[in-house]
Amino acid sequence: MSPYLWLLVLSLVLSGCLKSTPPVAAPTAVPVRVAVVLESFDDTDIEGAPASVVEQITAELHKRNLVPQVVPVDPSFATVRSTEGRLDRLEGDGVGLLVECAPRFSAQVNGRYRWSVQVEATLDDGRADEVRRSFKVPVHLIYDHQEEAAALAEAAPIVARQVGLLLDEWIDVTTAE
Amino acid sequence: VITALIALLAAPAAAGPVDVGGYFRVMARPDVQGGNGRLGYWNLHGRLMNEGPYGMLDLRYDLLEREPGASEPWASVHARIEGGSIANADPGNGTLAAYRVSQMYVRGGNVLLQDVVWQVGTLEYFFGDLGLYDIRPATLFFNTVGLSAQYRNDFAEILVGFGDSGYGIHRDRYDAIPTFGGAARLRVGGHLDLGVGAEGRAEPGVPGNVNAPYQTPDMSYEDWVRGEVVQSYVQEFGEDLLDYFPAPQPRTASSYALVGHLGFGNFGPLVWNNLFIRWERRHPQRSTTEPWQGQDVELWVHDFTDQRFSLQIGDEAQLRLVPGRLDLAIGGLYGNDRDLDNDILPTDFDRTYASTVWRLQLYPARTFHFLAETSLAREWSRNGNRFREHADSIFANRGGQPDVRGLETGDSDTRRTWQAKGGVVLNPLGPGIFVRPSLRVLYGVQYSTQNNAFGNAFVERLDQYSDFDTVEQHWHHLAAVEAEVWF
Repeated sequence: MSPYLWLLVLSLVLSGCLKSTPPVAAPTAVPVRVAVVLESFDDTDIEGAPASVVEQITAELHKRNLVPQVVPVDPSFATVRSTEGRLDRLEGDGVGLLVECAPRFSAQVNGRYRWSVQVEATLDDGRADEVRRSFKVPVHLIYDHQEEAAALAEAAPIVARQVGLLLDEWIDVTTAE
Repeated sequence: VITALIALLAAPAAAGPVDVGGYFRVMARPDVQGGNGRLGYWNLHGRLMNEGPYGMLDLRYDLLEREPGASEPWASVHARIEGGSIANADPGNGTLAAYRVSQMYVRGGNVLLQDVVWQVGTLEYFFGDLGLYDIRPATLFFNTVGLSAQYRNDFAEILVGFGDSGYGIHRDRYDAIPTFGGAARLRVGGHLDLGVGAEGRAEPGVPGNVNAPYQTPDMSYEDWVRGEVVQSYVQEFGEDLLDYFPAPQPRTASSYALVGHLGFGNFGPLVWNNLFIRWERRHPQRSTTEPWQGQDVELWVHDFTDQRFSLQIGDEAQLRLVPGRLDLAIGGLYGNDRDLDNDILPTDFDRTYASTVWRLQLYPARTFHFLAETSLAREWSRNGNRFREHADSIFANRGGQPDVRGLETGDSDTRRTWQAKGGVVLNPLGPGIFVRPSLRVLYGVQYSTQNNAFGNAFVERLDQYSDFDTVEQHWHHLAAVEAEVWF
């Protein structure tokens, strides 16, 4: 193999092993109650997000010296449609993080199933203004039987990253004070 | 056009949500063996390194927005623009003429019937995809514009539709082809998925309509494929009677497709397996022309093309061999095309083909992967030699003696092809054979029994006066840098 090819392979390997810069962490460990809600456009039921999704989101909290306390999403969440009402369900004082995810099937597209996952992430620490982030993640599933949970699982890396940015914003605000 | 459409849809975004998605693949595959940058001829050897550039935008605009868990009426309009040309990556050089509005429809739900989705516009529907091949055997309404109604719950789905496939099939020589069909599928516990579907098309004869189906009488099939119908007529009746060339007789054309699907998985290392089957009677061809002394004579060929049948079976399994470390996808494709009118001419309507594709993807790091793929394919022509194994094939099949009346186009009725591809993949979103975006650096090799079995610009005629000699090569090597993304 020519030295140029070795160099190419080596550079690609190194690029795959890049260390990411750690995010800014809270000065002291802060407990955060976390609920990740999975909604459906076709059904009135509400479920908790798949464990893999919750894990990726809580990992973002750990990176920032925040201590996640996962609140199970029970069927009673379905009776409350507003974000504020659901935040109230995260009982207790301190900080609550609510991530509402609503995957929606859009269309069959050239062999794949296009979904868009609408996400509303809200962090409430008892102040008047919550820190909030709304975004949409496109997902192209490959099988018909895959539905909301699969779409959310596919979107999880981007959802977790966006939640991380929300946490950064909140840490910046609280640290500045 | 694309920019204008995006702007048009994005402008009222504040009033209603716009969802813009799409897909593209672009690649550089410098081919120093005289090819056009594709490893082989077609997707039978796997889509990887056998497809060219492609771009697509899929747009959705919510006219009446849906709310999670709500049972209120909703409506959305969808449009898709797609085509196969990107600047500096193909001969079209990014021309917008290569793009088209392939889909345009409006969907509405919870109108008149709860949980029923109505769709008006283009109706294409598929049961799934053979991702390794980029082929969807179980597709319905590919050419149809019309109305469909779809009901779906957690266990079953029913779709019925009707419309017109006239423009889709005949394009600028439109003739109405009413099309009816439907599909049903059943899901069992996330482990089993069964589906069947059918589509029927009828094109009634309309005497006098120059775009309706006809048959020119008293024409032999062999004369037609040789392009000698007019010549035979003139020989028999004389040129003076050419004005009395037989007038076409009206026909009623019909065609149909039956599709089936069996999916299972979510146990052990098997992520999912999809089996698709398609049986189709193709829609008859309209007409061909033969030149005769400076004018084209139109020959109507319904009866010569109404017995074309096609069977296609495809299977693809995805396995997670070592979770997070090693995945495998295996595909198989079999096709049997038969033209009962034709026993003499080798064509794509009289052949069998079969192939298997295996792809392994190894994940040494989350975003850095190794990919290896191999495929083996066999194609057989039912009506004789179709493939040229040698640059001087006339010496291989006839000892150098020309057969000026022969209909064969090669020296073998079989083409066998093997391909292998491998390289590195950068996947920013992590592991997964079908996770995109993918940035790939690949090397591919092909061996085919056919000479120069890839798109090329070599001289194929054995002509002593040609400035260029023929070239014989069965191995094809190709390096590629390519990107593929869904967004």
